[in-house]
Amino acid sequence: MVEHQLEHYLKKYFGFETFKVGQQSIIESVLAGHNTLATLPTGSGKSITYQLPALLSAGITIVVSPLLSLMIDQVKVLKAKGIKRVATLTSLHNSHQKQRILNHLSNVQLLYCSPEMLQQSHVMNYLKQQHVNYFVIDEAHCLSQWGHEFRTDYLKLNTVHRELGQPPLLALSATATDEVQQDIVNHFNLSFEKIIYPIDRPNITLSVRNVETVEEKHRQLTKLLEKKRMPTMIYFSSRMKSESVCYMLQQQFPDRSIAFYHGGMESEDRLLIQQQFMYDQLDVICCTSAFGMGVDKANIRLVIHYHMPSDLESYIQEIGRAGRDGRPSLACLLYQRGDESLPFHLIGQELPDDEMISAFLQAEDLSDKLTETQERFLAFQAEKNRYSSNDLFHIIQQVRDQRLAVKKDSIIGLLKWIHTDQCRRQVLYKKFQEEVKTPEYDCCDQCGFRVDDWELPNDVSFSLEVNWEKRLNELFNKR
Amino acid sequence: MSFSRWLLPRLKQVEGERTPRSVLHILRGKKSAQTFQDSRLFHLADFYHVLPRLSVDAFDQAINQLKKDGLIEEQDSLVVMTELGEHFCQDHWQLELNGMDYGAITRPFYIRLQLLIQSVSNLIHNQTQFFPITDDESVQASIKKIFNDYNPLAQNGEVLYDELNRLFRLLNENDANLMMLTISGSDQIGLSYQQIAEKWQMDPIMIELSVQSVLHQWLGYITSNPNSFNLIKQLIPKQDENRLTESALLTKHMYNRGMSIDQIVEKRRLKPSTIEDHIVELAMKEILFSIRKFVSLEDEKRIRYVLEEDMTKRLKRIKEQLDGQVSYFQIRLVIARLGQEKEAISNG
Ligand SMILES: Nc1ncnc2c1ncn2[C@@H]1O[C@H](COP(=O)(O)OP(=O)(O)OP(=O)(O)O)[C@@H](O)[C@H]1O
Ligand SMILES: [Mg+2]
Ligand SMILES: [Zn+2]
Repeated sequence: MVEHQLEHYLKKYFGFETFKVGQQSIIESVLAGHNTLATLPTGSGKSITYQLPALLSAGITIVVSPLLSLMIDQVKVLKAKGIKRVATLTSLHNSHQKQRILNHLSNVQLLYCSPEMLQQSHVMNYLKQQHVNYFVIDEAHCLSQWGHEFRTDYLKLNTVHRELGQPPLLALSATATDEVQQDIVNHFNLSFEKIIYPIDRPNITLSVRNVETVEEKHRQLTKLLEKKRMPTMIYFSSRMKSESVCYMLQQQFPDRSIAFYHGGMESEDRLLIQQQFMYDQLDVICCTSAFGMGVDKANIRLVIHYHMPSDLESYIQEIGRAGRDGRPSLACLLYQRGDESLPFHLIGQELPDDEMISAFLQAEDLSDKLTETQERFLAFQAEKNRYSSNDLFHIIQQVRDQRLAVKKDSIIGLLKWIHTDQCRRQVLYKKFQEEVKTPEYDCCDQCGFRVDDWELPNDVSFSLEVNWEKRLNELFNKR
Repeated sequence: MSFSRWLLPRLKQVEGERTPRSVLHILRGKKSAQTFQDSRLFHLADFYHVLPRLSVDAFDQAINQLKKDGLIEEQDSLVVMTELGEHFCQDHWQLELNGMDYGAITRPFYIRLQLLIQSVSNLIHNQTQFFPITDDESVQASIKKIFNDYNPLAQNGEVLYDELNRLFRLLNENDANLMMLTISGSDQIGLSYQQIAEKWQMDPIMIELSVQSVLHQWLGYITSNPNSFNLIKQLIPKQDENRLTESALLTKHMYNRGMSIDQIVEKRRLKPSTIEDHIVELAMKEILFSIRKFVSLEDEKRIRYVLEEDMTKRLKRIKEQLDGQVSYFQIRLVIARLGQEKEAISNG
């Protein structure tokens, strides 16, 4: 398709005048029927690179995505834009709802699926009857055991793809190292057109603050927030901490609106909080990583890490929420010596210990002793090695130790970045690319940036209307 | 006011008779004959099903607080008021709850109302891109249907505006403001109970109860003036009671509010036998309906004993066999109950 024609459709369906960097070349590769492996930075508009081809081709595009909330958000955005022939197929549906979607597949242009749905032969039987024009894997680093979010249920996607008649494939990620890219290619054993763009974000200034005590951490937090009222995210690794710090900040900043968000809340409350943040009605959100992926708010100016994440990739994803409008933004990580014990502890919970492995193999009832990820890991390894002649226990133990080593290395990688005395931008993106773009604003604390001097241009202010009668008139546009 | 203090007068109602947890079951609207019966026996029917999502933890915390404050004690696991507790038992918090009638439909009604307002408000402002406040597809479908059938956007939403205006005017200023804060529209997104509580320095559960009370007032007002709320009344889910005859339903509502058969007879100007028929119908169709008020356990056992010998017996024979000590009404109630138990068994 010629260039101006593609732009015409971009405008027609999405209301954008021009493509962002990289979008067009990926779309052209997909439309030409090439298997495509592409990287683009966070917030660069990867979604459109499969949404547009899906709308322009006959048949159905299947998108595999790791997070339910992410899929649901994407579908909402599309529906709000008037693009209606989209659906999700996830474990959130009951069998009745699922069947309804399956019965109407011929009406669907874009189907978001969780990987485990594609393991169900019932679902596959319906999908096989459709003309699948493209098969898309979003967040494709989940396929690689070198990736930070290795998901065992992604590892059957090659079989799924074959069963669907090998339609053109598109694998997308913002955080795929060479190793991860190679894993993806090997997994499908197909030839790929690689479209690799650098993933650094030149409008985000990077900084780390070392603190000695919790009190000092809180003082630094206060100092950052004091500057100005602006859309801010603060990341925590613990639900409880996100709440308690939220309450503390509410006391300190009575005229700001501050809320917390984590996976332990009612889904309706989570929706409300997310929307309030979108509408600039909340200034600060104290959240766990349950908030983040899929959050696409243009004007987040400040992303603070109260706790360090467990690898560089997660960090890149999480600060990637900042400055999606391209304007100056700051990412600041607060580090207290010993903070790494939390991620080290968390990886312990992700993988089974020896005792769990042997109990699992002896088919003991472990239902409330294993975390979900431990259980998934064990089930997958047991099935995969079912016919192996070697001792199953040792095989699984070995795989577990390998994964553990990878995870520990990742934490250490992040710690090295925290302690580096070189340019943080260079170090952060080193394993993804050779060079970084010239930063558009300040680079990082190692390159002379001082948080205290940080100046911000914009000012969002929102004041909540409390009087019911005024509100009622506003709701109905009567003044 | 804290939730625990609000709870105190409810606990007093069951003093010396029940455990604290029995009140939790009532607040959560547990569907068991025991809870159902308790809520009427102890005049707690208004509070049945008003906090369906109240957690055991939050409830226990309130109970512990009351114990710590020296307001209640537990004796043989039953609630007992202390002398101090008696002093704090007045109801200062004016809520107008009617959980027995509306508890089950409040939530769906509320979510639909919120989504309708959000949709109309956004569309009036020409904002076609907005995110619905609920992901529940069945709720979305029901609002879509209302858009098709009633065109709520006509004259810039005048009908909805007018109906809402009248509903809000029923409330005191505080409640009206609180309720409006929970509503989402083109201008702002509603606040969660937690957030309102933080803002007003209150207990989130009390905020939830206030919202429930507003909704129950509205539901009562709308159902008794249906012609004045042609749009909003469409949002009220049909109760699962359509199996009952219209007239029996009315009797049920009056009975649930604590009226006796005689009082209902008087109020409705119907024959006592008609009201008795309604009660039999209730016993037959509603598993939660307790017949204990009309038939003692002792009598029920005796009637059952005779019936079990021969279900086909005429009422008159049964009555004779029991030396005329029970009434036809009582026998019919037990038969109704038996029939219902049979049905329950055969339906698995
Ligand atoms: N051509 C375009 N012009 C302007 N805005 C665009 C364009 N394409 C996409 N966008 C907007 O950019 C934002 C980010 O897009 P998207 O969510 O697809 O990013 P992403 O690359 O998938 O990011 P992440 O890695 O964080 O998931 C969206 O709000 C989208 O509407
Ligand atoms: Mg994305
Ligand atoms: Zn630098």
